[in-house]
Amino acid sequence: MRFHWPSFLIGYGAGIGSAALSTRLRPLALEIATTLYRAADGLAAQLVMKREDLQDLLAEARTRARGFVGRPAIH
Amino acid sequence: MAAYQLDEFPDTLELVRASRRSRRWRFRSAALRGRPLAAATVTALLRDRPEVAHVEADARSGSVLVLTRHDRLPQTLRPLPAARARSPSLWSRLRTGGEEPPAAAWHALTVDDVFRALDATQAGLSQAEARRRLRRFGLNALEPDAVRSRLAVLAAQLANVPSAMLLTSSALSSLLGELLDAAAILSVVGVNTAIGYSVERANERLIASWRQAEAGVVEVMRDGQRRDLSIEELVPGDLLHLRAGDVVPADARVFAARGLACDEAPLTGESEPQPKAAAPVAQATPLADRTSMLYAGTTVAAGTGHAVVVATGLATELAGVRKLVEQSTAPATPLAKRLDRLSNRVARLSVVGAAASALAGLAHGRPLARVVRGAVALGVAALPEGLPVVSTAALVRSMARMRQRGMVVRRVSSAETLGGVTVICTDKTGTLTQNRMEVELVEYGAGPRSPSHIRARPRDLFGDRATLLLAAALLNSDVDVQRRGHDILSISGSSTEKALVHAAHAAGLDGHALRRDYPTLALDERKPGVHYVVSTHGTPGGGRVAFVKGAPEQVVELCDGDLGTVLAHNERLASDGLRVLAVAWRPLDDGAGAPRGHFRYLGLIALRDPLRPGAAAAVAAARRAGIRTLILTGDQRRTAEAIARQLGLDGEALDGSDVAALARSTDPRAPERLRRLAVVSRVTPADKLAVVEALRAAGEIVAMAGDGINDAPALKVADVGIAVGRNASDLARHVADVVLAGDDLRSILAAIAEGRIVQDNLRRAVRFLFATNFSELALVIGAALVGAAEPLTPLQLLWINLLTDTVPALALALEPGDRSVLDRPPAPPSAPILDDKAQKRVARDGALIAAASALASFAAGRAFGFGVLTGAQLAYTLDCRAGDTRATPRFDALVGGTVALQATALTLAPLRRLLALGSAGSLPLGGFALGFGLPWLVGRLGGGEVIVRQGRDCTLPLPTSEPRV
Repeated sequence: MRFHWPSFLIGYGAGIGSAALSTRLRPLALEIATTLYRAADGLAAQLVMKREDLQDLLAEARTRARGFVGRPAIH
Repeated sequence: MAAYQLDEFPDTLELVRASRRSRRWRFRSAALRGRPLAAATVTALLRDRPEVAHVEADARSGSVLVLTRHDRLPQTLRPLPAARARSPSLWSRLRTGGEEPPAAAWHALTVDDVFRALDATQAGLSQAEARRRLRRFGLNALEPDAVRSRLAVLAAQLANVPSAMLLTSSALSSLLGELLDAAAILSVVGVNTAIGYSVERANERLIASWRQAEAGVVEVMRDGQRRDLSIEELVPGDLLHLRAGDVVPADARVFAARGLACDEAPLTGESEPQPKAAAPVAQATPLADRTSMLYAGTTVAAGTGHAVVVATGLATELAGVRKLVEQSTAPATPLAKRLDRLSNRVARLSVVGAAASALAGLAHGRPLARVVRGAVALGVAALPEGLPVVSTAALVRSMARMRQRGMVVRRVSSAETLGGVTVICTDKTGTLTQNRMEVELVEYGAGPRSPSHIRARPRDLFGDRATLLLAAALLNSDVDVQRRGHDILSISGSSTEKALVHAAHAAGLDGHALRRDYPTLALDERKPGVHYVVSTHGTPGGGRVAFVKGAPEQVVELCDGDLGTVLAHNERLASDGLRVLAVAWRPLDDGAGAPRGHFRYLGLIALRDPLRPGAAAAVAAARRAGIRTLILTGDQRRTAEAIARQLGLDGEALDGSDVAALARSTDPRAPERLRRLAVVSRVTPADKLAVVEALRAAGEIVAMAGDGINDAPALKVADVGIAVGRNASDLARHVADVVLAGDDLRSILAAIAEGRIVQDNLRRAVRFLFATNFSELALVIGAALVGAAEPLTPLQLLWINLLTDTVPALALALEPGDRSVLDRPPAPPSAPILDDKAQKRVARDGALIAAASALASFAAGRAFGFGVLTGAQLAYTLDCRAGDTRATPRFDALVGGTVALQATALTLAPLRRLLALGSAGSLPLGGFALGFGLPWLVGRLGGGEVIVRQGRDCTLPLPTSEPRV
């Protein structure tokens, strides 16, 4: 494979740059990751809550339709 | 939603949904969300109950589903009364703050009523009750100042129009498959973002390192015993024991006091300590005059006292001031506003230009892809991509220079705003003065003398008038002296009495020995209407003497003899801004009661709160620079007027409430009166805010300098908020745009000078950038209109904008500036970055450069035209420099380096391929050389450029004599 100087220099520079900046960029990366996790947890919580609301609705509807409680509805 | 308490589980559960028919009960609790262990605990507590058929707890949503065997809940789940239902757990209150205690006008209630309302006794709370109240009201802590998150700082760098347009251009380039162009554009955005982020983060770290440590421990009475308690655990009803030097940890009602006085300057601005007593005051009494109350954040200046806590944490007056800060929004800076206007105008023009070019291209039958590529090229050409980097670098450099002078700029754009400041509003106490009383003159019959000329004769106390005067002042002062051996470690008390004691010590008196020989038997403190203190002392011979110290007009009434001249001396000293105390003494007969009259006059002691070094010079320099200084203080008008005279300020003095009314007034003379204002006295935090807002509404650019908590709302609203001094409160430092580490107000003017240099340099850089960008725009649009091929590819345009435009613009922005920058008024606040004359010049120069490049392209091809264009633009840098600026190594290096790099790009084969210059031989380099000589000719035709300030005249007259310092 032919040696390509610009690619080599870009790659080398990127390597040095990331090593030099990793310490300074780590807190920012940590904060971004924390924000993403929080967003994901919040979204998951909302989805679960909506699912629970639906379960409750269906259980209530089933009880009304069938006119008895019987065994507690478990999901 | 109804709340329930599950036995053995500390937090309440809120019933979200209940269905008796289906025997389903759904609870939710924030305490369970994200806590699987807590969810498992709830499950375990309910699972084995015989009434429960099934229980399911989900930590993701914080919900608990209980299915029962009957249509009721198990007894282990008890409904809570509504009041308790609003009381979440301790550790959730740690995050959100506690329930507020019942509000009452505590200052107007008697001590018995206060204890009754708080359900407390003078034996203090029990530990169990204290724990209950801690759960109910939460910790005694304010929310820590939220530091801007890194993400917020990063996002702020991208929230501007140029970045948005560049990102759009990059996206379009990606869609067209021009990945190299897209990557190059993104790299520009990345560089801009990295520079701004790095600078602002460094400043935030510096501020955070200056945070003062929180006070730790306070002495309280609990279970009938005194004990030390963490301040955070204080609750309403706790009994405090405070002494001189203590910081008051919570709002409290005094129920016992002995000579108690508090320094409330951080909250009310009052420089003298306020005496405190147990007697209630009228309900309508202003905060500064509530002698029955102690407020969190203030300091006990003298005496001792006992108080019962009435408010903690967010319910304190201190928290109320912080709320005022949070409600006030910080304004956009002038630079941000003007660059926004300019960017928006350029964006609109580029959209119009791109549309015109696209239509012209389509009309000539060009393919859509080529037309879109041309639109992207126009977008890149029109926007000065280097502007954010250049403006940020200019601001950052000024911030670095200011940091060398002990100033930290917390917001990058504030460095530019400083240059447009037209009014400096400054707090008096602690900012203009040192908040440290000193004895300046002593008058005892031989004319006023400096205390340094007095050599006391302790062995002849009653034989030497000067010695007796100083000894009486010392013995009459209620201070707390901490010693180690013969060394005095500290003296705590009011600043006035500390000054008297210092003066006595300096004259050679031994305070410790005097107090031993003349022990205090009684101290009759000042009272409303009685502005003197009478102290009774024993003597070595077994007798008694009395000393009186206080307001001269009242002390003279207590003395025998004709003392008419004393009052004349007092008037003369007071009109000089000095605080004057008269001192007298008398021997007491055995068995005599409190002395009333027949004192023997000793003399007058005049004290001054000295100005900070350089304050008067700073005010004078500000006047020369066309900047008005306005003093805001909680002191009385006479004191403030005297200080203003010493600073050389002429103008009107008004109380804060009068200024607030003036600001709301529709009187047509109101703006003129505001312009003539020099002193605002008796000012509250809300008044300061109103003053700053009124000035800003009148079109002024306001810099607000202060250091106390009460300055914070005004600091936030001002165009530039400046926190002054190392002892500035955390809140002031947090909201300020600039923090001065030192106490020197001349640094503010140095910062203003840097701001003006930044403004001038930015104008030159913007002129350069827009002229060169206009030349590219004219080329591209012109070619499209005549149906010619694109004269410049997007990558060529990006190369030009990043290298031959940005680096020279950077050199212009980093120039050292004019030394006489403070000898002229500021530019009008509404002045555009480029006025009409400058815009015409930009258009003319840009058109000339474009025409030259077009001719060159027509004559010898696109590569030659590219060389002419880049050479002309680089040489145009020299034309944009200020006429009186000398060459600097930095400028030579930047511009020279760019010339060398450009020449290299035009000769090296790989770079020529990248720039699509093909195999044009030495034509590009030849064009570059030709173009380099062109602007010299054009500049000589147009004349040199001079930035003329057309500021307003300063309305205040210059003083007829030099201001006193």
